[in-house]
Amino acid sequence: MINQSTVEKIAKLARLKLSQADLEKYTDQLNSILGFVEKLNQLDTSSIEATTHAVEVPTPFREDKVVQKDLIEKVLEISPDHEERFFRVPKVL
Amino acid sequence: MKMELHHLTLHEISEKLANKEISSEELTRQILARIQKTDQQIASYITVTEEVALKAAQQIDQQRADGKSLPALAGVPFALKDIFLTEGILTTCASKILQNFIPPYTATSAQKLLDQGIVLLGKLNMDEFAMGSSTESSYFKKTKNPWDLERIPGGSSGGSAAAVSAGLCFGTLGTDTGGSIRQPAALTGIVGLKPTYGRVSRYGVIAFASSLDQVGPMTKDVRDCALVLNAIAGYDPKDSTSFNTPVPDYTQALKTDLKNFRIGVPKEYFIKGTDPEIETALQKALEVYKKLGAEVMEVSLPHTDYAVPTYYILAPAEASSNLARYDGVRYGHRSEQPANLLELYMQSRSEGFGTEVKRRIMLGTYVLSAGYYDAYYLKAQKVRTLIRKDFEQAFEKVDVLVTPTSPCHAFKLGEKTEDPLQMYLSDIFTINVNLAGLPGMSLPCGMSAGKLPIGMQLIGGSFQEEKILQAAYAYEQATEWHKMRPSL
Repeated sequence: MINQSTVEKIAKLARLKLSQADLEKYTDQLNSILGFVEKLNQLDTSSIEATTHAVEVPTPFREDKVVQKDLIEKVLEISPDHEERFFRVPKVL
Repeated sequence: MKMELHHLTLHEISEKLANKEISSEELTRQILARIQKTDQQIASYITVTEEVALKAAQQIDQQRADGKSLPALAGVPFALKDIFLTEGILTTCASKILQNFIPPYTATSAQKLLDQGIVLLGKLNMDEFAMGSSTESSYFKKTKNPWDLERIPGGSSGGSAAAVSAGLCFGTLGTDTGGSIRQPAALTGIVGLKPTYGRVSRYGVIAFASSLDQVGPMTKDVRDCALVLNAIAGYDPKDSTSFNTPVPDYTQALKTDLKNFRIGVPKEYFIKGTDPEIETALQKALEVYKKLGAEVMEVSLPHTDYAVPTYYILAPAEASSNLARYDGVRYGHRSEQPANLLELYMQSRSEGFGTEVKRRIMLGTYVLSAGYYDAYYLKAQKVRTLIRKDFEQAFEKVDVLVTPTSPCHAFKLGEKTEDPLQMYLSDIFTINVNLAGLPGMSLPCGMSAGKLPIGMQLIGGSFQEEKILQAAYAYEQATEWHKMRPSL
């Protein structure tokens, strides 16, 4: 079981601001979902390897050269705020 | 009875275009007019790209007039789930956080279709970030099932399914992370295929759970499905998980002969809780397969019951990581006047994401957080191995597996929104296939007494799409379900 202060901590880690009502609702719902996934503990997996991807693909390599030259301008154009070739944000502290 | 133009299949309309019975522009104008009228009820489109569509149609008509030989998809009005990036065209993922996002490049799968000459009609509604089974979590609108406007079309590719079913386009691309192509296809009476993981590029598809997401066709029949798969399948150097193996001509797999074909029926999929009408429809479908000469045998996938809990650890974990990029800095929604950078992140995300997306980010962050990783994430990845091995063993004995696609008919709007766990359980038959990375298709196999479509799922071994297409085509040609259209 997780309590509301744990949910508050997770929200902070996830960079989400939740209202008191949301905190209460998510505490209930996360507990119900986590209770449901407990089912996995019925299985002994001590000797089983983990699957990260269903289809194993070796990491492909490519030549180290620029292929999309015009993307920077386009990307800056759709940003909420930028100056020259930088994204602008409010002060950090 | 002669079918109305908008209810024809993609391959039928493609023939009419090729024979110059109708021009692409004329056809496109007709479908655009139908969207304007009928989509007020269905609400399947988020964006209609009328200008883009007409320009493309005119170009194709010109090329045809010049005597150029054109691909099957050329001039065919088509649409995309709003999760595919389209350069210069609004792409929202049905989220407030991307409500003004105009991507700087196009997804590989979408580009391949554009290269074949499709006429892009617009972008289709979905659950926000593809998280949901009813399309109700969209920030913009709630799509209705064309068979019953009080019911959901399934999800997350609900807009895509509804648009195909209602004759508002001749085909679409969806994405499927836990059933998001197959379940809405079943609930709206169309054909939806999730190919093998790695068969179709994911480049430019907004990520939900990267080890599970896959792109696939949603169409009116099996031949249409093969035609669209032909166009989108293949290796893409821009997607490091795309698989470099030759792409066959999938239309060559459309055979009606099923001699020496072995069909497995996993006993764990025929359980209490499935609607009796769906169960009966599946039993009848198995009888059809026996008549067609296939051998039908029971098989076992012993870890079936563990798939939903495994999925609801892995998918939210991957989602919480993928969605960390929406922070209000580089693109998407930025909160007004935040006090500092941390506030900018927190407020932009809290304002931009909806309830279901936040719930999954919270769940994913928790299962990945310090001290819980082994207990949840690693455990689930190990169970994933067991689920995969179940399938590997079954495919030593059979060519395809037949199961129901969904345990229930299309439910009423609002029926399951208050209880996330009930919503999650509607994917009970489709999630396993994503965990194992296998191809799976839903195709129509019946109608309920209340006139709601029923879907049958065919599951194949890794990169065995041709066997699925063969089994689907043979069944389809022996039955009439794929010819049914909603009266709209």
